[in-house]
Amino acid sequence: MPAPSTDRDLRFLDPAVIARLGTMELKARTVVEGFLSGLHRSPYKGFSVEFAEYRQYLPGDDLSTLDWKVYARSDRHYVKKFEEETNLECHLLLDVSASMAYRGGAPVSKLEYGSVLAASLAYLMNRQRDATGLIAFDQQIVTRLPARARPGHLHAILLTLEKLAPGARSDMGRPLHQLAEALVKRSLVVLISDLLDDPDAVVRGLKHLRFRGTDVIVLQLLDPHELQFPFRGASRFTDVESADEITADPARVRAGYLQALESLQARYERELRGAGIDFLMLDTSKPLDFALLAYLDARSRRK
Amino acid sequence: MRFLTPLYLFGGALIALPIVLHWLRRDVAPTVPFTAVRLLKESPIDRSRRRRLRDLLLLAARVLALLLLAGSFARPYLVGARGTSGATIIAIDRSFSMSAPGRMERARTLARQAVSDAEVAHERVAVIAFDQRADVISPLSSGGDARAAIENVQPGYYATRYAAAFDRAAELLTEDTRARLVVVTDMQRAGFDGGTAVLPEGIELTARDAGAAQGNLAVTDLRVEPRRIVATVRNFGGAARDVGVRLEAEGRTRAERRVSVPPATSTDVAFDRVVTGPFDVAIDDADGYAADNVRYGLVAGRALPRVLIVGGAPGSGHGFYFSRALQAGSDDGADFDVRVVTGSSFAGLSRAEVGDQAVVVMLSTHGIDRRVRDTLQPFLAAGGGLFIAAGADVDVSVLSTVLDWTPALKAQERSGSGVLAATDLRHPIFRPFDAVVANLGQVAFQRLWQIDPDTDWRVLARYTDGAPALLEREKGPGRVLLFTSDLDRRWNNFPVHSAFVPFVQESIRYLGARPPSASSILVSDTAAGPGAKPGVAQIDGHPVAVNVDPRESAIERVSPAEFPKLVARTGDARPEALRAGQQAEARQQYWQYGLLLMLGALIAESFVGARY
Repeated sequence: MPAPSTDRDLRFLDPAVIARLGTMELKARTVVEGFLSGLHRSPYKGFSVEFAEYRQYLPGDDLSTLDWKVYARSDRHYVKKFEEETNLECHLLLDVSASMAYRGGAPVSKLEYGSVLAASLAYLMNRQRDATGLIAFDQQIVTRLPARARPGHLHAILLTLEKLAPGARSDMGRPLHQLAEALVKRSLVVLISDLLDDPDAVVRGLKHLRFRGTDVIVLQLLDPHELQFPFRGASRFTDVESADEITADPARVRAGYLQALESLQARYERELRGAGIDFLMLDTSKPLDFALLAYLDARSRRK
Repeated sequence: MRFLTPLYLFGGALIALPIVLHWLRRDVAPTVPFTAVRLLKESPIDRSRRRRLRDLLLLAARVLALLLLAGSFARPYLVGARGTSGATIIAIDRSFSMSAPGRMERARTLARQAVSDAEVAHERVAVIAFDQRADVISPLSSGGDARAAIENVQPGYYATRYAAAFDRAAELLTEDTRARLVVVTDMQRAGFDGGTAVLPEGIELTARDAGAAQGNLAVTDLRVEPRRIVATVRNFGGAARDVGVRLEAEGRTRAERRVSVPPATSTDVAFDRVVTGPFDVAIDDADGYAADNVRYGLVAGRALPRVLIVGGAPGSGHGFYFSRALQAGSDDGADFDVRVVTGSSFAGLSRAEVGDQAVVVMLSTHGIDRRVRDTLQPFLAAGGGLFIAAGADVDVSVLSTVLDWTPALKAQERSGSGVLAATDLRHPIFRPFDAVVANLGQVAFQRLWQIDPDTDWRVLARYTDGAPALLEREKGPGRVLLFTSDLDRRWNNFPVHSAFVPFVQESIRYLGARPPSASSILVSDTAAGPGAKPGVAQIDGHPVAVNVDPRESAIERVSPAEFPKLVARTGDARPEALRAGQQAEARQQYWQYGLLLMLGALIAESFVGARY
């Protein structure tokens, strides 16, 4: 996947810059507009989301998609390709468990990063007239907004994201199964979580969703400290969710930790991709555009 | 090792901080919140030997850095840093009492012995020669230099003052931890007079007796009286002595007396005043101190101060009483060389001729012209004195002109105003009157000048009606006295009164007409230094008799055991010690090395902390 943005646009996708903005709507708009602005100048032409996608009518096209205003002005038949693709139902699943509140080496916590990411996706979906819903969960569903395509619904999503607070420990299996049972229509689910849970339960829940015909994109958020384990000096590591403690010398356990993390990532990637689920790990110190690109890529493949 | 600001050493207590922290935290791991704890495996905290060594190295570096910091701020310096364990100062008495036979030889022997003792103790040695002054004749060095210096010590003509030697020794010994002062002297008790002998506490004091004088005869005083010369001979010994006393001048014996002086007694020996100028009175005393066997004196010539009386026209009679009053003297004759001239003669005198006078008395302005201005002004500017008395022949406007009084003095002649009353009895003119000053009040003044003086004038006496009678005015170093009535017995009867002569003489003396007096000073008062000798010297152009201090002639002694007890001791916080410490610290500047080492310790701490 080619890089979509220039350095100037990356400035608007930097988590540190985004975190300093005011409302969630402003954050989402800044991210998306910056992302799209970079996208237009990029050589990546796999799909388009703008009105520039007018094309001449070809025999067989749905006549309802003709833009009669253009026809009136130019006496030519054009099809509004963009509006043709507004029948998708998307659900944003955001993990708000206590581990998501962790902030080590990144400028923002995983929850803040995930909230902005969810808001940006919602904003992007709304631009494409996709019906968008939001589900926040820890060991159970905390907040649920059903998928809607009307413009006012985006505001509700952004407001909800803005008010989210870290919850209790995570148990991802339950909310995933609940959601799989609840979804009756073909839809797209975007899961935003650190996936620091029982991997068996996570994979089972996601496969359940996939089994119900739902397209799933998994965006795993990890802090740089979780990725690199840069600690020094003997320390007592306390789990932020379970309060489990392990006393260790980081110099001695670093290699084992990184290996365990790599194994976990490899397992997720292997099992999820095997189930047709897109999996992308995101460093919360990095810009948000990779996540947006992943979403658009998955969406285009759904067509 | 000493410290200039030792209080900073208390800062070294800060080392407790890293030690306590090291002790408390040696097995404590900080709590770190984390998310993926399930991915971690339990591992014991590394307490390996290497880690313990690292912790100890870190602790040592931190403690060392703090100690060096505190030590540097305390500003350390080394005393006696020349590789020896201490120092000995040998102070040799060189006062004239050491000129007694065999005394100085014994002193040198004792001093050499002290040098040997110091060499045995591996101490540096310095030598001080002292009397009323103390000079370092061999600084702290090896014994060889000290021995050479000891051989050159000779008795002088000064008196003994132990305090001078102590002060100089304290200056030399402040940097040495172990210091000794060996005083080689004839143990004169008089050496403790005239000042407090003080020695710092840390200096060990030893006195070595160079010998005792059994007796001493000395000429302790000379008085030149109008008709005779009186010498005082004192016998300081315990037995009566017969001695020949000689009056000598110009290398010849002018007179000789033989006297018997009882023990511890002084005897006056009188000679006729048959000499003029320098002379001496000498005795023979082979066993005592040579320097006090002769005493020098000076009979001043009769160089009388000159007084010039300006008396007006020939035959006027002005100045008769005044000149007679000045010429009235004692058996030795008058104290003034008086000359009476007319006004016109005075106007014809040159500036040099007027300048030769001590005082000019102006009783008339008759014949005075402007030339007088050119002679009187320099005369007064050179410190001359001018006495003016009012009278019918004195024109006050002429006085104002020739004396350049601005504004001009205004005087109005009037009659009758009572008697005289001194305003300030402490004034030098009236002070000799003492109780008989009231005699001035018996004089009746019929006529006088009514003067309203300006601020340049100071009123010394008034008439009983308040009018000024005697006024004084200064012009540079010169003085002017103005008497507002006549002194030729025309306006009053003052000249025939008993108070007239002393009044006139004291006034003239006050104006500067004093006979030269012969003076005598001690050897130590001359500016010639230790090389000064008794005799007659020219000081500021005048002959002055120079003699030894008679207190040094005393033979009363203290014992070697008593000697240290007469010396006051000061604490270690003596200013000399502090000053020397500051100098040593400024020279050595060990604090800089301390801070550099501290920096090195901190760098080592950072290196060890980051690397291991």
